[in-house]
Amino acid sequence: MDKLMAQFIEEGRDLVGSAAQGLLKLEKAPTDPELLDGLFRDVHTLKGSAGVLELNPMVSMVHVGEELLQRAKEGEGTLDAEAIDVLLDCMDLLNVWLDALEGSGQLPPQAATDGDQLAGRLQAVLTREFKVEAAPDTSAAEAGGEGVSWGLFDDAPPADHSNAMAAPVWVAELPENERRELWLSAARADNEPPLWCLEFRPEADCFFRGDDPLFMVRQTPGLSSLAIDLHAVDEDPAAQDVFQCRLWFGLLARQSAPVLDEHFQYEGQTVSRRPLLSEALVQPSGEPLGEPLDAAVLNDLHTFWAQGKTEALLSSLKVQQELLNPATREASLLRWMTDVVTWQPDDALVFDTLLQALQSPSEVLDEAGRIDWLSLAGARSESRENGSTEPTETVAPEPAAATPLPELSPDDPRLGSVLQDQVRLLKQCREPAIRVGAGRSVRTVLDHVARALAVSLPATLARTADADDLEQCLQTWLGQQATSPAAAPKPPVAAPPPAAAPVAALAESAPGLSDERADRGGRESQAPVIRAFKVDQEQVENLGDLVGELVVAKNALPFLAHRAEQVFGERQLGREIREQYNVINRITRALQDAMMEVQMLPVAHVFDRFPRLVRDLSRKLDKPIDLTIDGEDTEAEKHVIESLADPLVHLMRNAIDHGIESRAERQAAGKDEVGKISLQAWQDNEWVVIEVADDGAGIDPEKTRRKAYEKGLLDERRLHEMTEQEAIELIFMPGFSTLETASDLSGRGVGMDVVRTTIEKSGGRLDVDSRLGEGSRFRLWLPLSMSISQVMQIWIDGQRYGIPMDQVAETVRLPRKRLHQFKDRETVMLRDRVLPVSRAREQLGLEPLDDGGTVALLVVRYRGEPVALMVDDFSEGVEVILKPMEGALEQLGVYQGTALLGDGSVLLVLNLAVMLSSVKLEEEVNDHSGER
Amino acid sequence: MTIQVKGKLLKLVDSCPVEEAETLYEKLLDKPDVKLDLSGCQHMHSAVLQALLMQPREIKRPPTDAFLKQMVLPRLEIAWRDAQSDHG
Repeated sequence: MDKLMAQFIEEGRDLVGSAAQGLLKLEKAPTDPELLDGLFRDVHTLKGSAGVLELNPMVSMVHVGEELLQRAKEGEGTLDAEAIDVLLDCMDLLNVWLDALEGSGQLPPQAATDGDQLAGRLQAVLTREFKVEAAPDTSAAEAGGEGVSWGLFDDAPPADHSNAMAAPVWVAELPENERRELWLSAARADNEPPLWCLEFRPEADCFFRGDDPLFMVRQTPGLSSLAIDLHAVDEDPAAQDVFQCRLWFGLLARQSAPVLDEHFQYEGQTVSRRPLLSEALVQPSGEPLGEPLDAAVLNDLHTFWAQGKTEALLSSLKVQQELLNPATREASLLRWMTDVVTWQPDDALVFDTLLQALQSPSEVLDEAGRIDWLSLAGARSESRENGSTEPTETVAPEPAAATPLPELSPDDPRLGSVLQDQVRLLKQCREPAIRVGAGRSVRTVLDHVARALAVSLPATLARTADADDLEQCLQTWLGQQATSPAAAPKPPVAAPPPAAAPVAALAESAPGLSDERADRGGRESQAPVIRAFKVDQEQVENLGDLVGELVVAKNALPFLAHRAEQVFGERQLGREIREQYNVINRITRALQDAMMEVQMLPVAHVFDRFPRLVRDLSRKLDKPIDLTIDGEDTEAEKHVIESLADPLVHLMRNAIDHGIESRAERQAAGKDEVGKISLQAWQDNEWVVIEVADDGAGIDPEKTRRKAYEKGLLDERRLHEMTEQEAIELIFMPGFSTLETASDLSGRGVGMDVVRTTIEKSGGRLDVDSRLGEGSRFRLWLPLSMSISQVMQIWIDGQRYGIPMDQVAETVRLPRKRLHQFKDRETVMLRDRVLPVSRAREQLGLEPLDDGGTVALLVVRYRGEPVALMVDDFSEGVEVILKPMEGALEQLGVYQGTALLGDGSVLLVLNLAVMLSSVKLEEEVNDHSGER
Repeated sequence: MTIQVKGKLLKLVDSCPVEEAETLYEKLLDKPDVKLDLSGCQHMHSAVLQALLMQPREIKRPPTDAFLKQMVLPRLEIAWRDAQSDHG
């Protein structure tokens, strides 16, 4: 977990615990300035830290709580039991969130909703308790603790910000139809995002910074209504500077708070946000009629409403509306009443208020003709809370202190084992550092239990948070012996009563915390952090195999998609399978990469043996040799390193045996007596390159040519046509050995041809470069990883074969007549190049294909040269795990290996090097015999 | 130019950038009886909106852009009405 987050969780728990404790004390002494100060500090710190970690739901909820505490701290009101209830609920929710953060590193998905709901309840408390105090538009800034800054316009507030919690005046001034739309959307659906009221006052010089506040406003997510105002406008129009921003925006947006905060995150304090009760939208507009409505009509409305005669009420309202001028305030009130009856028929407060406004406007409406919902909102929010089913609210509010509560009995069945668990917790937490927290936690649990069960705690369990006292009191009270550690009961089988749910959550969180801390405390001083560990090679290989199988299994999805489309005609399903495939594909790729990294080894594993080998051989042959090794830390996959070992030993032996001359020869050639061999490794893209170079005699092309001719490996014509490089490469021919007497070292059994074939089998290649008298250089190219290969699928005689993708240059389809017979060779002209054509069917000993029309040619690279391989058809590329041929099949050199395809069939992967080399050789032999 | 004057009609077209706010403001001061055609206006920079709010004029053709029409037009109309009643 992120270090910062871990720290926050730890700190957060302490803060929440301390705040919860403070709140409980506050209940006894509601005006204690020290308590309030401490509480405010806790909550403020919590908000700050949560803000750093961008835990927006937490910030928005805590912000409201902070504001509440700030008001209380400044003596603007007192927090009653109910207010403390809500605050404690906040602490519970914060604990749940902290647990979630510890578990998953994230807030629970419903955090924003839960947070907004509690924020709403806190807001209701604010509205109710602190309504009299005016707070000129500084609430947001002040509550943030950063001081007040409204930018440059402190002199001229454009709109009334009389109370942070009251709906601003401009909301009431919005067009009635806009307000109505918003109200209706809230009334119709419960799951609408909350409605927020934002005020945005861009800074005066914002235009110079390239800002366009109107554009910002326009893009506001969930923007539902907009008020625009100008401020600080000069008297003289000609003196105006149009590039000084004097705009002010009031926005109503229906959107979750974090989304809004993110949208305005760069606007800083020029934006303030507060929740808006939907009632605030219910305001009459228009001029008063000037005379009271007919008393009989009002009476009817009253009666119908009281008796729940909705239809009669609605029709009466309709008739009255038709009678009145729609521009009057009365008509507006009637329209609102219709809406309330239609959409919120159980909202008595709103309807009664509207009716009263119709009846005796002066009692309800202020001078501007608006309803003061503020004074009514307190009652309103109460009624809403009681009707809610939110679980934390089922904790009954503590009844007034006047009625004494029954005392809690230790064998109250509702308790379950909550109390025993507390004792157990206290026993577990012996370390002083965590004991304090445990004490607080138990204190909180006890108080919650008391509140949840509506009982009072016995005097023995006085309101102390001291762990020792608590433990003793609890044990005595529960009739346990303080000295019997085994007395801790097993966790209960029965679930605790539902009302105790938050309590249980709290109790569970505490032991987890203590364990973690105890662990850390114990370990820190002793063991260092383990940074690497040894795993059995087999285990890693198993894991690698499983990854490989996953890749193959993944490859089954495109087949499935294809079947879904072609066989079952489900195009949409096929598309969705492909989308899923892409996701899995991405993950398996990452997995493969990670797996490969785990299996990477430095080539040093192979290189390390050579100093010894060179030393032994040089002594035996009496050839002083200086070996230099470079790049031994180059890494490659374990299998690659393993496949590297044998060819490399052979190359090294060759260099010492055949490359480096004898002492006498070197002296005669004027060379240093000490021969030099260099062994180097480096990485080149997806390849590991190993180079073995000597400063020996080099390969004599004349000699190889003659030798090959003498051995009947090539004919006279080829003998003269051959370039020097081709002549040098004759050493790779099977049955070729230039040295008259094979030494016991490099031996006769394994020639260079075997070295090349071995490397080619592993998907690599071997180059040689030699200068007579100066030395030879062999370069060995091997793929970094062998576990997964890309192969191209081709069809030959109804059978699917694979060809390693890195050897395929291109695929072409040509009319058959484009193939030319040149003597006994077939060729094709492709982009001004003549390529030899090889028929795959012939190579595999199959009947030639006779389909007239076109031919499918696969242009492959064979030892650097393009060759056109004629196949029946191409198919798509696929990732496979190439398994080498085993047992008797190993002798079939034409196959590089087999692979399992996604549809379960086996794919034979062709070894082009073997397949094409045999072709040429055969041709040449035919040629030869033909001429004789 | 996204601001065009045709007789007694001042027309805003496309997206009016900040640079044109000053031109617009001067034209508005110049011609107290000009009327506005916002039908071709897709967006106006805040500075342009500000100029229109400082020197409100009667809107002959309302904007067709949804945001301007729903959210901005009513405020421009109120500004124009207020200006009328101030003078009257």
